[in-house]
Amino acid sequence: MRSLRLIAQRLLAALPTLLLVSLGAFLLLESAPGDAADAYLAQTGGDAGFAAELRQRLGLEGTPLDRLAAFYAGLLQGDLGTSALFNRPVLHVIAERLPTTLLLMAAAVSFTALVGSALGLLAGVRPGGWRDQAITVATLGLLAMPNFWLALLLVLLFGVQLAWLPTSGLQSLGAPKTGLAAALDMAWHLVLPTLALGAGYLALYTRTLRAGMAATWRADHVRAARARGLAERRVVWRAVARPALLPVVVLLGQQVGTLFGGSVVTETVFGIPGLGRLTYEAVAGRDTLLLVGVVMAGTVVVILANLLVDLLLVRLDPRIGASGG
Amino acid sequence: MPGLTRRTFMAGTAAMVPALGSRAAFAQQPRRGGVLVVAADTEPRNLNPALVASNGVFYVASKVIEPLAEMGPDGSLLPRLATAWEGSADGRSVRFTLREGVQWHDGRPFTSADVAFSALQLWKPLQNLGRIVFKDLEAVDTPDAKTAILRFSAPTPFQLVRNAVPALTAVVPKHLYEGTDINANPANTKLVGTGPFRFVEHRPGEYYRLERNPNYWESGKPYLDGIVYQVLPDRAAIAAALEADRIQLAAFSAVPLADLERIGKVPGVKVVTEGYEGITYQLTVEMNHRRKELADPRVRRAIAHAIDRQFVVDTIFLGYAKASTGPVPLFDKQFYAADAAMPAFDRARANALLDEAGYPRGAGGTRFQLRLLPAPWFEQTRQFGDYLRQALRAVGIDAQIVNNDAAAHTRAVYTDRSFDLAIGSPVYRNDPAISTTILYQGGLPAGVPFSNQYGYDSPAMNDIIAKAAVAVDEGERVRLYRDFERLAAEDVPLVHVAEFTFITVARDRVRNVANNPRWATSHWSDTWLAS
Amino acid sequence: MGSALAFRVARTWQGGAGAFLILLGALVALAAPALFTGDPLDVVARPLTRPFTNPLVPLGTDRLGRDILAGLVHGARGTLLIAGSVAAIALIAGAAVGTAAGYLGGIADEVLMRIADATQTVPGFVLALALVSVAGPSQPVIVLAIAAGAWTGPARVVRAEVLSLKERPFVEASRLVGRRPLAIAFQVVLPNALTPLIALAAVIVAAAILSESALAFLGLGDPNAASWGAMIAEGRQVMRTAPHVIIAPGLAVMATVLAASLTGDGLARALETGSSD
Repeated sequence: MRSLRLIAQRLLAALPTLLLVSLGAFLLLESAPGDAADAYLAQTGGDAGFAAELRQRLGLEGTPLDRLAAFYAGLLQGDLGTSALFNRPVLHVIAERLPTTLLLMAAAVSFTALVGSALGLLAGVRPGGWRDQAITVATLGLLAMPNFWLALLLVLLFGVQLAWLPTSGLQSLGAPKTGLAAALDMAWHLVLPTLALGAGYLALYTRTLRAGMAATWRADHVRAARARGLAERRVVWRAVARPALLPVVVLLGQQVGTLFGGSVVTETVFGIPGLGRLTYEAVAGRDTLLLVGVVMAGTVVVILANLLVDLLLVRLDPRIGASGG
Repeated sequence: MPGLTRRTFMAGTAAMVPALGSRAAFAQQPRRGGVLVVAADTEPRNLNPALVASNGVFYVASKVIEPLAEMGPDGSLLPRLATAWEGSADGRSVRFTLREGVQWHDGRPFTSADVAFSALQLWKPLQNLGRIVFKDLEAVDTPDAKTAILRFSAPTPFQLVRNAVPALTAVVPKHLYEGTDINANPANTKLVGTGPFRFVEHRPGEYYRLERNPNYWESGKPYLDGIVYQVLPDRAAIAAALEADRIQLAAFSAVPLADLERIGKVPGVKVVTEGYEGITYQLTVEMNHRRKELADPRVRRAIAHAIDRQFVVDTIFLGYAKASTGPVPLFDKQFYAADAAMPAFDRARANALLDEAGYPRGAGGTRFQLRLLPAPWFEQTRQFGDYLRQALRAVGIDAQIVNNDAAAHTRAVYTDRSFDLAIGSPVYRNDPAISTTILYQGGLPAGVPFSNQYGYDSPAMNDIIAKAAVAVDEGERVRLYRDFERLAAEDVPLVHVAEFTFITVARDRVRNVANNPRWATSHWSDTWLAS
Repeated sequence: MGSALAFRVARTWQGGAGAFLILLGALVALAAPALFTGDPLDVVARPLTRPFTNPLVPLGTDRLGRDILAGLVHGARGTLLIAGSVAAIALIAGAAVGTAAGYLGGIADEVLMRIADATQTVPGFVLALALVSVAGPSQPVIVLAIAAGAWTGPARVVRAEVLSLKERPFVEASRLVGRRPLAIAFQVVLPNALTPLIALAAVIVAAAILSESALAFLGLGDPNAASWGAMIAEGRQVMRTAPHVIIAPGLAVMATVLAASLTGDGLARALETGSSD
């Protein structure tokens, strides 16, 4: 019941957010110097008549306000418009790219959350111990590393020097695979991008879990549990780690949002056709409707991820739902 | 310092020789089979070469859709869809004899009707370059299925038509385009042609896939089973993919110049510098004559004198370019005027000219400030911007760089004209009338990319250009264009700095690479993979 | 209170190391024009000189022959200036919005927080990327573009603080004494929100350095100034032949971000011990 109310609340709150985000993206690209025709002409050249015909074909006549009104009129009927860059419905272009980005994000989120939490657990078992110190320093370093730089170093080491892993694309070309072989091939291609995209957050998970555990060690119920003579391992699990997992779950929601930003660079370096690169292409091509669509799609994903996280939190800790959000 | 980079270039060339030599040494029988995977760093949305004549489109499309003829090693024409061509003395008609027994990929026969339709419905009204060359095309007669006669309402030099044929005359099937909105036709992205390869699919962001056309008119060809263009937007990844043999070829200098010396030494990889002679790019400095300083020819000459072309060639292009002398590149023996030369590097002369023009050095040694817009087209256009800033500071001009992306640069320079200096890289298309004279012609409307938007308007220049455009006699035409080059060197409305083509890096087992001057944008029917 | 906190921060090893690194960076940045008088973007020696081979260019040169050390030092200036300005603008704007929202409540609060929500759903980097591509890369634009996504954190912190303080007796008292709401906000609420804001500032600075370098890496840095991200982008083409070209600026970014995070960490620890004591 409480969950249902939460869902309804969030979806309602999502509407103004989507409106603002789409309006922002629209105005931003419309105010940019040059339009979709300029982006096109930059590749082909052509005389003045050619440019005029191009503008007409791309629907660039009239004022930005006319186009904005047309866009929202279409949106009410579930139509996101046509991409100038791809000459296809925006929805189709996004539908094509979204799964790739979701796949990459899922890989990065699960990898970072699992490994990051494991490291955090290792550090938090004995705060101040040598493991803790080592892990703290390592995570600080990881957090400070620009993700594009890390990507380059990973390519240099694993892709080139050792030649263990593929450095671009999502599948081996020339010899297409099917079934399980194709899935493995794709997983193989995802290793380096996942590492590059997830490294920073991996460190955040570790630090969050460690900090939470360090704080709980001092809490009364832990002291009590110890005093009762509970086995150390059970103290760690039950009393210390589990409550410290809550902020980790919160972090999950945040990570999904930030990943979109990181994926612009990662997808470019590793040649992965996802939403991140599409954002970049839409801006470069002055494809306003495509950018609006991409930004809205990203927003929906972020909102849904946060909703999921909140539902999870309600399950984990019923007190949260009661306090509102 | 230039000497040193020069040496690295020589070393690079030396490393190449065995690769080229090995081709002759092995002289194996071409082998059929194999899929060639090549790198593509851009994805044109409209792939129809009859609509968009650009190298990015040709790179993929030229294997599927063929032109009437291709450029031969010495700049002559080699037959493709046409087997013979002949121009009338008055410049009002050109007769093409077409190849027998050619089929479209969907099985329908190729006829003169397809040529007539492509010329009248696509090249002339819709194609970015055809709109210029074929502007006076009036009709195409088709007395029989294998003859197409282009008729012009005003004299159109046969020489110009000949030079334009390789890039501008891709033929598309009439039966798929007739009665449709040509610009929106699905065949623009899912190509149907007569070429050695059939178009299979394009997965945006991933690849284009072509497969062998078993019914190609040249029996036994093509040798390859297919070509895959893997989209690799990151250039650093391309070299790695080549070394790992995940791709076998990267054209258009997709491997950064700075990496060529190293990759040339990797076993199994060769660096090929030929195969682009017919698609020369020129590095230029466009100067906005609306700025009062730049309206003065002395200031423009001074800027030309301030640039050390050899340094640019050696350091920015690492030797893979030539210092430019004017609007026609050295490769084009037909039109090149040896006696016309832009002002050479001479810093003292530059300073003297600026003093003479009335711009003495002020506080901090600066004479005046200019906005410099380097085009984002190439790494080198940006790097040359950095160099030019330094070179101009040495003669007392403070240039502030403004970086724009492609759309913003096109708008700022060619429509809004809001720049002082811009760095461009126009393509020379083997005849000055195609895309070179518009860099000098006065009075062009705003909004024409890669044209004179800097306000140069010289009656003498306009006169030469107009005369040459209708000069049917080839000797006279060449003479006029040489006058054009001499006047360009005298007025310096823009500075030509360097001319560059591209480099191909390929695995050794890719054979018949670069065997014509437009190789990367040609048919590849004789390309094969050794085992 | 301020000096005592600074002392406690410096006593944690994180805080000490962080503060030391930041001071060092700031010193280098300030001294840059004196240390390297020429333009760091000038070509000064043979391209791709290896590090430690030519005393004139101790860290070697890049692909065009520009001094890497000069680039690093001048880059520190640009980077710290940008990151510092971003933090300042984000804090000021965030504090203003947060105070307004918390204080005014009602519709104003609702509108401001919805805008903050919308801003937060768009990843800061994507926002900065779009803004810079549209407005053209120059240092002020880069600062504003990064700050555009960074103000929501401070705004939320300040708003929460305002809400919790609003009904407390001493605020009530000030109001009864007849102080103007704005004055109360500045004199009572802000000092209380200061400590979490300072910790947030360290996070913003660290993130801003990473964003700036990533923008420059994508070709959206100020072309007239040296930038670490741009050096890495440029060096990427030759990283196989001359890895030093990307390693040096990468380490510089890392050290600076590390310094900011360490300082923030030390601050958090100092506050933690401070409150538990």
